[in-house]
Amino acid sequence: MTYSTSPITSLELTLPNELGYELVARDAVAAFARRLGMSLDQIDDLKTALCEACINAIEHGNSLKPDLRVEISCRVEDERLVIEVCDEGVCPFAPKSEPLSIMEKLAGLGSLRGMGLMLISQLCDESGFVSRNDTGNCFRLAFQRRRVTRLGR
Amino acid sequence: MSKSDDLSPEPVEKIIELRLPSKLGYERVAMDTAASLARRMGFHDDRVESLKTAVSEAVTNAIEHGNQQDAAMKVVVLLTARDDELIISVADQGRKILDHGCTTRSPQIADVLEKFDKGGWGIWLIRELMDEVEFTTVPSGGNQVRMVIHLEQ
Repeated sequence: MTYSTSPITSLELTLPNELGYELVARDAVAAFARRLGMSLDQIDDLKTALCEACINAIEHGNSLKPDLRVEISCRVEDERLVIEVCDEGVCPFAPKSEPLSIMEKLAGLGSLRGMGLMLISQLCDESGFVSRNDTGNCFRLAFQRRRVTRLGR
Repeated sequence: MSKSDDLSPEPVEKIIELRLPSKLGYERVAMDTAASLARRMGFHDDRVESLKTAVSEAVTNAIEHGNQQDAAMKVVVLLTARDDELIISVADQGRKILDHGCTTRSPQIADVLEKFDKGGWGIWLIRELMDEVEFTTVPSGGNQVRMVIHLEQ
């Protein structure tokens, strides 16, 4: 794997493809976010969203293969912290046309799992898969560093 | 391969790579990442605290001395988790090559008290806190310190 050109304030991290290591990534990125002056509430959201994104990369993108890696990059763009979680793309992401809602899942119409992307979208200011030149899925999460409190969240 | 064929198994290693900006303060990212991994491996709290101090000193040296606080330069921290030990390698890009005399001398407290600058204890601390310590210059010209902390069951 190669890293893209790094702006000055950036952090890059690569992890073994094993469940549990998302917690190490969580603590690394939380420490980076603290250095950037983000609020504790935002950092809590970031930690949950990052863990979900890493678990998706380990379980789905890299299909739990132990010899693969997960690559995480964090950089500051204007007033945003942008995090990318990339896997090696054993299983490319294929969006479901109409994912079940929480109410439908609770009603037993589908698995109670599979809510990670929805959860991430509620916690970040921006999230989604981005295209990469080489193989692999790359999921981007962005947080405003000075977020205005949104009531009703 | 059956277990009986597996006479000399390779030690299982899990590697985390971290690339940090050369800015004072970002050593905390390395400290928190190393502590998170060490706790996951089962190190006791006092050993985790020793590890954090040693990592902090090694990364601070890399930022301040090796990379001369040039924020465009990176500090690379490799954390290698084995069944019975954690190996931490901290490498800079070698804007200034470390004088090997200072990696072996112990500072004398009487001398230090007379000086305005009370620093210079980092390498001594690292040697006191870690089980194995080795300073090298890598072929690309950077300074590297390799520290090992053993996991006592």
